[in-house]
Amino acid sequence: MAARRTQRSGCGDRSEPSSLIIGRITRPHGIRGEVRVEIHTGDPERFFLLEEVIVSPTAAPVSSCAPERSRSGVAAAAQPAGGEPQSGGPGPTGARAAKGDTAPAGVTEARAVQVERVRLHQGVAILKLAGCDSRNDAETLRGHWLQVPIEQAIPLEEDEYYLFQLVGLEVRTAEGEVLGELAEVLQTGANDVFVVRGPAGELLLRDIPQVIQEIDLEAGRMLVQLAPGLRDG
Amino acid sequence: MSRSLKKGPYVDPKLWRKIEKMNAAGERRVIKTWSRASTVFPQMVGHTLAVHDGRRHVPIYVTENMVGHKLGEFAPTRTFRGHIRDERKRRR
Repeated sequence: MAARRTQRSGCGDRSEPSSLIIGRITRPHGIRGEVRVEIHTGDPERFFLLEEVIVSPTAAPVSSCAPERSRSGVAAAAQPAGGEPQSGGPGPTGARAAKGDTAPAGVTEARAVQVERVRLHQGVAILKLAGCDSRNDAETLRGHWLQVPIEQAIPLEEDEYYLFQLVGLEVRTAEGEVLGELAEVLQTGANDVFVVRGPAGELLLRDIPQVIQEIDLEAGRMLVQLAPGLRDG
Repeated sequence: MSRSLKKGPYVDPKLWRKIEKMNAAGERRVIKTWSRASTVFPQMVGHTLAVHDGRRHVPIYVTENMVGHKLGEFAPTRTFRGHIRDERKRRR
C-alpha cells in the first residue's frame, strides 16, 4: 500500500526551524582563501545555486540573518574587536594586523556571506567566500557551520519530507499500538531505517511503503505495519 | 586476491536455506543474520534481511540493484551522525 501523505508541507504545531544546515567548514583549502566543506545536505548540487550562505560559529538555528549587502563578506562579518577565532589553526593575528581592516577575524556571530565560487571535489565542497582571501582568513572559519534560511531550502516534492520533520513523530501500528517515538533516521546504503524508541525498547523500521503507511505531520503521528518476524528475539 | 570463480559467490548456507525455504512457501518474514559477507542473490530480492551492524540488526529490504553486493555494504558499522537540522530528505 502506498504511503499516503496528509500534509503537503510545513509542520503544523511542530516547531519548524528558521534555518537548515547545509555544511560545515572543516579546513582551509589551498592558499587563496578557499575552504573545504563537509556536506550536510542530501543534494550536494545545491551548492552551485548558492549566492549567499549564513556562516555561523555554532549550529544553533539562525532566526533572521539579514544579509548586509554593503558589508557582505567574511571580513565584514567579523567583529572589529575581540573577534577571537573559533578554533584551531595558526594564529592569524599577525597577518590580520598586517592587512588591516580587510582581513577576517572569524565570524563571531551568524552572518550572511556571499559565495564567490563553488566546486565539488572528492565528496566535499570547496567554497570561496567573499572577504576570505588568504589561508589565514580561511583558518579562522574552521568548524563554522553553513546554513540557509528555511525559505531557501530545496523544495519538497510529493511524499518527501525533511528528516527533521519526521524525528519526534509518534509511531503507532494500524491496530493502535503505540511503539514509541521516532528518534533517529539511519541512511544506509539501501533503504532508510527509522529508529523508534519506546517503552518496549528500540525498534528499527524500514522506510518502504509496505511498512510506513501514513505520515501525518499535523497530528505528529506515523502509522506503520510491522513485518512478521521483526520483533522476534 | 579475488575469490575463485570456481566456487561461485559466497553466501552463508544457513541464510541460504532459510531464503529457499521461504521462497518455496511464498512467505515473507524478516530474517536476522550476522553474515555480512554473504552476497545478495537474485532469490533474495523482495525479502527483508536484518543485517547485524555490530550492535543491532538493521532491516534491509533487498532490491534488484543490490544483487551481487555483500549484505554488509547496506548496514554501516559507523554511524555518521549529522545534525538534526541538516537539509536531508527522506529517501524512498
